[in-house]
Amino acid sequence: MSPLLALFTIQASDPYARLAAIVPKAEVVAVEAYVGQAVREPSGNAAVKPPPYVALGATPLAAQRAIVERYPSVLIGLRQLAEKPYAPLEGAQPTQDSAQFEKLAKFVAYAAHVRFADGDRRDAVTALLDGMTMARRVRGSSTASNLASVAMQTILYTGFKEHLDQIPLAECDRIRAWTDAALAEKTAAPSDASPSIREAFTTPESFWTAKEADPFMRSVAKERTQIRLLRLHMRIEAYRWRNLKLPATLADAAPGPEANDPSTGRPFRYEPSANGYRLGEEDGS
Amino acid sequence: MILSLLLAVQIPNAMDDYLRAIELLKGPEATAYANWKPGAKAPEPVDDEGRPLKPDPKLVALYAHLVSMNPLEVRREELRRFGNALALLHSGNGKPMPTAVPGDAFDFPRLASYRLITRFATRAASVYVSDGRTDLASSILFDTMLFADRVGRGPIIGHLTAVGMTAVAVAAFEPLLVRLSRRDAAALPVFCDALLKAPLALRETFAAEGREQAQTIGDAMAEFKPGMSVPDDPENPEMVREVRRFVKLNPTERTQAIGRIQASVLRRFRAMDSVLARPESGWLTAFRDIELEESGKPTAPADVLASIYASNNTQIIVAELRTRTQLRLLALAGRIAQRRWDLGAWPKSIEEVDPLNGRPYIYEVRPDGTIKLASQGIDATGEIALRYAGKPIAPETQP
Repeated sequence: MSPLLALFTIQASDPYARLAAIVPKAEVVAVEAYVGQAVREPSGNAAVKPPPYVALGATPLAAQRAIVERYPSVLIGLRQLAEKPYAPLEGAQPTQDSAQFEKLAKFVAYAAHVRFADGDRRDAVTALLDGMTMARRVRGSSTASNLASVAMQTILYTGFKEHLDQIPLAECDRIRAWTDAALAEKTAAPSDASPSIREAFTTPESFWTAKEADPFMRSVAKERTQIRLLRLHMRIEAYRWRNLKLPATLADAAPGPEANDPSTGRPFRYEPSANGYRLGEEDGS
Repeated sequence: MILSLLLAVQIPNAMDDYLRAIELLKGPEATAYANWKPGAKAPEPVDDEGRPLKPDPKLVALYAHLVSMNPLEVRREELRRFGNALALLHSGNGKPMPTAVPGDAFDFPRLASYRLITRFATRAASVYVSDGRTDLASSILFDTMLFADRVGRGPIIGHLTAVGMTAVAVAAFEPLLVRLSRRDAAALPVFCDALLKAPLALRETFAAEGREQAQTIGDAMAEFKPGMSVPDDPENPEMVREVRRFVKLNPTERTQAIGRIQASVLRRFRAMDSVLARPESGWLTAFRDIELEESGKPTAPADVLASIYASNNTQIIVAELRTRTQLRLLALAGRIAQRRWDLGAWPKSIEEVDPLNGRPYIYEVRPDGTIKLASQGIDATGEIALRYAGKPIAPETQP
């Protein structure tokens, strides 16, 4: 069997890879370019033409809706897969074509945006969570596939962050439960990791920073930080819903350990203001 | 037989529903929810002479129950217990409103209790939003604004009450704007534009107030019995002179004099009404012209007496202009929120012009991702915003 055919066989046999193959990369790229330009130039001086199935002069939302409606089976498939246990095939690297998976994550983020716009908040959150579940499951055991997984999670994390105002209380609690489960999962060292990295994974997370020069360690640290920040956002938003005001401190909204960043040993930065709040490590992200 | 049949047919009446809603919200238990604050205890009842009475154990237990809850839980339970008031409000809005009759203006307790509904509706809306039901939250606030519009078609006191109710509902929308779906945002301009295009409530107010004042002034004049002594009033010598002349009239002359005074009152309101047919931007100047004209000319006896009841109508016009501008701002905020959904970001600028002053609206996208939206207003109003000037559009950060 040729290497190309072997790759195809492995990818095609992974259910997530099969879903990713449904949405042509080029279509997402075309919508991405159109949306990016339309946001920069809302007056409609379109240098980038919309894809053929998007009306000329369509808004970014309409363009996103158009591509999402072309492939309705993708979200259904993601939902079905999220509800079942997932076991990657021996030796499979479903994210071999990482760009394809990143575009699938973008597609899911578009679908969530469209659902939020329609007021279908539960479905929007479900799409993002199913996307996150996929991103975590397909990370495989190589450094490269883990980097691809983190890139997907970053796209989807941004999808949550951009719609924080749209997430109702019950959904805040559901997302937080998902983050709790994700953080409780044991992270395994990749098969191609050096012995020192393998050893690092046997130590508490606070010691990982010593190995941060390693790309895999960095990607895992970023992934876990994003999930922790997502959990904290949900704690803050839930506090705001219940108390009709922002928490004065992070500790008011989140129990002790949750507010802390294991990489620094200090609480994440939280700055409430009259107009909202900033949460993050250094850049308020 | 026919009469009893006619009596048996109940004519649907909006006020019946509104008053039933108010009854639901007036009780001490509903008040416990409405006035809830962290740590609030049951009020200690006293008798007319201030001596303490035995507290109602049920009420004490309710306050003790509420003290352990967070604000959302309190509002949720309030909605569960008294939510029927919102159903009554909605059904009332679908029924005809009885015509205002002279005497309505003095029903202050009823007018004051209208605000119970508005405030309850805003609390209920916040519960629905926390459940992700911004469509229901919008619908409740729309019902409140429709109710206010109907109340505002009565005498001036009712109109001013309605202005206050509308301001509360519009302000309640402000923190919701970033939480509305595109569909809900699109409903805002549709609703507000319809309200703005409806026949002006203030015209009905002037008509009702004219009738009210004419009736009241007639009743008051009748109290000045023939031959009675009228004491001096250094601040109103002209009025004293006219009343002294009035008490010397014979019955026929008295009736004619009262008719002239009533006609003067009605003429004044007709003049005010004619101003409302002009473009909004000219209302205030035209009103001031009327008032200047009245204060400057030699006054007829009837006008002197009619002036006893003249209100400061300039303030009413300022309140009306402010309310209409807020409705336009709410419609505009809805259109901006739609564009935000369409673009994925706040629009960088807007082109709409404020009909109140012919100038652009104030619109700023701030570095923190919030926006400021306001009208530059006019001298008499200052800057007009949905809630208050300068407050950025963002979800609730402080209670």
